[in-house]
Amino acid sequence: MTLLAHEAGVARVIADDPWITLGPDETLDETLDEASDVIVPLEGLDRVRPVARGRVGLRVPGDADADAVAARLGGVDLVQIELPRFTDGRAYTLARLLREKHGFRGELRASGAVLPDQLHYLARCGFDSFELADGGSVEDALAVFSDLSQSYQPAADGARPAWRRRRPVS
Amino acid sequence: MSQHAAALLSPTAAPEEQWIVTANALADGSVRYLTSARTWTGDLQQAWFGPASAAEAMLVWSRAQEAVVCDPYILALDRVEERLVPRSQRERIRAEGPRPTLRRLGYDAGRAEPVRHAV
Amino acid sequence: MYTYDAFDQRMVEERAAQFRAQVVRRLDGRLTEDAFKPLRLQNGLYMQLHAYMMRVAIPYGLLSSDQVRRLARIARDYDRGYVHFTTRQNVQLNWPRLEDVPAILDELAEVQMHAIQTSGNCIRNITSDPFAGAAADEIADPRPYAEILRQWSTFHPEFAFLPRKFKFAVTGAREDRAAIAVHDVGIRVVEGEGGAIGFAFYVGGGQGRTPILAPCIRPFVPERDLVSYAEAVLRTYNRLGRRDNKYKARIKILVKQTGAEAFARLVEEEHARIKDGPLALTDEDLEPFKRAFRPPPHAVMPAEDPPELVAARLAKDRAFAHWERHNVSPHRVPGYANVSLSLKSRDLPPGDVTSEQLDAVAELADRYAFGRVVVTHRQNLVLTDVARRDLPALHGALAKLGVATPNVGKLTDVVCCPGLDYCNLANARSINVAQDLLARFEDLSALHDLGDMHLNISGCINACGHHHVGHVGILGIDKQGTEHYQLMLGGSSGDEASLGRILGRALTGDEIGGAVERVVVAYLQLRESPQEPFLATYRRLGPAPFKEAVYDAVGA
Ligand code: SF4
Repeated sequence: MTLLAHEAGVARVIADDPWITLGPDETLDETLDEASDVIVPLEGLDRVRPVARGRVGLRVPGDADADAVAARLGGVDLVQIELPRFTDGRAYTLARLLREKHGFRGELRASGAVLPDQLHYLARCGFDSFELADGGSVEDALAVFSDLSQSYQPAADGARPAWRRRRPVS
Repeated sequence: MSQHAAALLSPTAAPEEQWIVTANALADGSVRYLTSARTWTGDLQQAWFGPASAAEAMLVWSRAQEAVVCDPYILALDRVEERLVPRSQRERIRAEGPRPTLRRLGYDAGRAEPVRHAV
Repeated sequence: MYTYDAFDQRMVEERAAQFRAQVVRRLDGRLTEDAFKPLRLQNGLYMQLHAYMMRVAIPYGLLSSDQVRRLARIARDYDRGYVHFTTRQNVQLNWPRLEDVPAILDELAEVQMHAIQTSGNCIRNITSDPFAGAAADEIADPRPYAEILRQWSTFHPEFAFLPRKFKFAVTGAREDRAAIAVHDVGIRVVEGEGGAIGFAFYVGGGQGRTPILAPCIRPFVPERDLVSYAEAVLRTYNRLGRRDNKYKARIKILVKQTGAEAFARLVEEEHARIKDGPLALTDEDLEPFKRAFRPPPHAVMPAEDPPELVAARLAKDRAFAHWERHNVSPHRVPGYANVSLSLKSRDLPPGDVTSEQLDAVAELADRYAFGRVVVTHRQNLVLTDVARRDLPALHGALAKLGVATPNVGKLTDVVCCPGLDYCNLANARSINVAQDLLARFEDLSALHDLGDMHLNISGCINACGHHHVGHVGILGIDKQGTEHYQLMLGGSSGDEASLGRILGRALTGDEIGGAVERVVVAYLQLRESPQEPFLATYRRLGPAPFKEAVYDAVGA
């Protein structure tokens, strides 16, 4: 698994990810410094948040309901959305709703079935970082990220509609 | 009468079930059949055939041929008087090419070659 | 016609370059077929029975003569010298080689064409009325709106992985020639109070396994809200559409299971949130789109028919008169007409055109129709804006090309998908059935007595041949390994849209042609007058007499 992030239209590899991922039954103990930044699933949130001294991230499945997730975002700095299959596009809408409807400003991270050729769309929907699925080539992901340099429609990236940026000639 | 039907009427030639491996070529999508030399041919009559279990093994090998063919699969057909005869219309058409050969001069959907590749 | 600017041009060029790189990665083994498949599908490249098939988008069916010439050249250089026009106003190449596809995309990009979103579970090419901008019964030209929706939906980052494919149709006319009731979203231009332009949204129609006529979920969406409302519909569908079963994944199932009113409320809620955001259209946004489709420079013509036209009508062989009656439609401007080119003859499969024909059509479009050609969802071509005085000359040229069969909208104007001769999903052949019927009904004089009669054939339940909405529909099915055909009657995609009903047991390939013939004979006996079209007779009498006519002969 490789973690990528993007900034100003360019993707890069993140070598020193501060976030530690906890399973549903795991909690913070001596092995995990209470000051660590941890990502927990929804079930673990209430158990971990009171004791954590580091930042807390929330992991949700791609088909989670945006309103339900938004209700739990107090004190959450990162939301990791897991794509079950790359053909399941609900994560894109979920991300946009968290950003644009619920005003989430923390990090949005995509994980699960994340392939190189999807990163551009994920980024436009509000994702900041991506855990590339095994088998996906990092070089390809970095290279294809900027294949399309412009877009027609606004999304979570605040792009202006193309028809307002320029006028078609007739 | 088709060869298939003629064979069915003949008491000496009961069709025997055989299995083959087929796929489409990566380069142009053309129909391909696996041969016993582990090459690919467009001619059904040149295809390797055998029992289902052997075909399964050939399929495993074929799946590693991604550089040459796409989505290989195994297929049961009848062997009648030394000829491999598909059972479904789909596989008959795959073996023979599309049927519409209409009367417009120079138009033969099944046979004509793209100009650029005809040479 | 909308012309690309540098922005649009860059979009298609970057896409062509992107796919070129993906093809390289596939050919050198860096991409597996499983990983490559969704990428090639996003570029309209399918694997069919004998070859790849490439589907090229024709937004709202409109082509310039240069684009037509380029299609002819591509078919000649990279394919086998012919193309196939589809019921979604697109064009398909039947034999491209994978390594040539990037070059084909470059050639297309040079004439402002592409294969973007012609496949996959995304928003597909947006279709429209073939007479758009030229129809006598038009409220407003739908193409500016179709074009703005095209731009909004192109590479929409949120809607690239919908539960299933998604099809829009837009019409601006009073008569529905765009089949809006059987699309995921059908949009009808309507006039509101004080003549304000708005749109009626019909959502959740479709054909396929579960044909449904779309309910109207909102009768008037203001012009400024066109795109935001479409986005609200898509977002609601992307969130809630079923993904557990491919056959229940279209929006029609969601709308049906939720209920049209409840679904409309969900859309309204989302729309209320976004309607004043960046998608709200201003007059300045819309103006360039409207300007792009302003009418060509028509000449001022006398209201009465010119003498050469009258003379041609009176000619002894009646060929011109028949053609004019069936293939020429009224235009909004006096002295002009819309001319349909029939791609249904015994020479070629329905919807197929050779490169030579395409080149010739392009020339005729330049000479007689301001350089524009429209593809129709009945797989014909249309030259809009033809001066009526040019009709005799145009008829002569079209007849020479073999595209003047006077059968548009008639029984032999058969709509037909590629079927089992080409298609990987097919259950049965369809082209041979079409050719059989064309041969049976070639007797033109009999044909003329039949009036409007739409015959649609699909090679499988996916219904690309729109058999549910044919007055006579034929569906290929597989019965124990042999081709069979279901015969249905009473479908219509027009103003009073309806879905055909299966008449009786499935028929064999040998039976189906004769069965259609018996339906036709029964209709001729049953109609109240020659003015009563087939659909009216069927609606008046129901299936019983037709069923009797067909199955008494072949056995039930
Ligand atoms: S209706 Fe079926 S057979 Fe015909 S083109 Fe569509 S998928 Fe293929």
